[in-house]
Amino acid sequence: MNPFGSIAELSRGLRAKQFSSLELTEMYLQRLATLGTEHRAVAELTRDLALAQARKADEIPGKGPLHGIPFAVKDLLSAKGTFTRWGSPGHSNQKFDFDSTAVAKLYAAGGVLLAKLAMIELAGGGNYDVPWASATGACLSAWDKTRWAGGSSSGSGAATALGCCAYSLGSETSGSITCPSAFNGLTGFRPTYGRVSRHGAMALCWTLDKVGPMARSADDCALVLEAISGHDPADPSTLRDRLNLRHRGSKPVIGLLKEDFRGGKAVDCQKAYDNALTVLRKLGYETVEVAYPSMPYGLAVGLIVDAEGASAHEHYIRGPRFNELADVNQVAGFAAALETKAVDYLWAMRFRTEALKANAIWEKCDCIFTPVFYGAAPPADKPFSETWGEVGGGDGGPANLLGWPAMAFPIGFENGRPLGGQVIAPAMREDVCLKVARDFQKETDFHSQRPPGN
Amino acid sequence: MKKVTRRDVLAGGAAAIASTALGQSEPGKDAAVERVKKQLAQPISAEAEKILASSIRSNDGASNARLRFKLPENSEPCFVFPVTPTPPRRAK
Repeated sequence: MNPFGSIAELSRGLRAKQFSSLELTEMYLQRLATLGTEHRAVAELTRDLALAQARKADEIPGKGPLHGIPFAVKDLLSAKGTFTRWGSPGHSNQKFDFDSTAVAKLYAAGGVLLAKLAMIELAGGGNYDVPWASATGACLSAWDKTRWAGGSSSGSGAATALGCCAYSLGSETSGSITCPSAFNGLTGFRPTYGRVSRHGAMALCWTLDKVGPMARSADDCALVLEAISGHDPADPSTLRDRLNLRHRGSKPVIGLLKEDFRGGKAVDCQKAYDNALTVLRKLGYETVEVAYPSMPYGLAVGLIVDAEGASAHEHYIRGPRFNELADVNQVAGFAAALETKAVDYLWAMRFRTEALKANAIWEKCDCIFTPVFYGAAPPADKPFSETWGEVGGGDGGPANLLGWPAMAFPIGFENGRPLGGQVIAPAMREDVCLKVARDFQKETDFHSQRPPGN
Repeated sequence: MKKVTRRDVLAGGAAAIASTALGQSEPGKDAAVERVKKQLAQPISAEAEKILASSIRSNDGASNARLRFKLPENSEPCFVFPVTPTPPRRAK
């Protein structure tokens, strides 16, 4: 059994009875208990549940691609019978008596839940400044244990890259899928806002949160997204349009933003990005320079996170366990957010309507290709205020604000640590992200490289 | 000197710059800290209080920075209240 096997390979192995779901599950549980724990990627192993689900999957063979395939989820998604601690020390006893819709859909597809995975406490909504802003401490990159695994879907990034599960679920308000995907050499799929139900997922921002797959290839992400997407009456923001990942239209034209590469200092990233563009152009992709309209997108995101985050967690912020947050910056940030003015929040929500003008960029191109960051994972033992300057970059555009999908995937290395690129597409056009990433991964092997020692 | 956070960077530094310009001793800011502290169930640490003061200044900076982007008069926010009809009342 290959712990780094693709979902399709693992599924073929199961159907051919080369191994059972129980054997696959036991292998992943063992890896989670050792490698996953060493990297502080695990919030809780769901061993008994997993073994029972695996036995059932072996007894009742299914036809779907996820049947009998073990997965793990960010500890922000509820799963009946497990703790759902949201990465927060102050929520150590929290349990929900229902499954989040995304988890329920994976169960229905025959999935086996191995573990709840580590995350930044409360998804970092209080403006966290340290990698150890989590009940489980600093989650360490699969590629270098001195480096941070990224956040807030930290454990989903590290565990999946370490071959501790076939795939995982993460969530993103603003960067929480793409960041750990980049820092662990993974492929992460942030779907269009509303594509996947948020029911049973911790709310940081009702109007920004997205649940999405994190896996070792674009193909794997596609299989998982197909399984978890769809309208859900329990989440009024879910889309009624059915996901269609088959690419429509002519070959996508790729838009390129003016990249700064940290004033030219991010040499490895620039080289990886240029090489990636060479690959894509050889595949026949046309590129064109584009620019977002200059608007304060990040400012609006910050105000929305403050207002919605403070409201979503108000009971906790005003409660007796608030001081238990691991990062003092989160204590201060969430407390300060109580003072967010209604007019500021409403400005941000009106601004969002105005920001729709940024859709004009899609008159010139079908997607945008940009580095996730200009640097690899920062040190795990220093505050970001001391290290983030060495990372830099990050899409400063309207993608999250306007609910656009993106797929992040590895495009190269910096001192042996992975660098990520991302394809951003218009709302509802996940098929474009998938086509470009899939074509890139057919021509390159960055996504199939394993962390050292594996 | 005020720390520039990841979110400040995301916001293009506008909030950070604006809040830094407000200074640390602006009258009324300590009152804001006290007002927040009164809303909390437990006292926060001295370090948290210091960062809280900085965070409030940063938020004020964001509040000022957003004024520079004028929205069209009468523009709508991006949400609509979903009116929910109910079945007709049955006569008793």
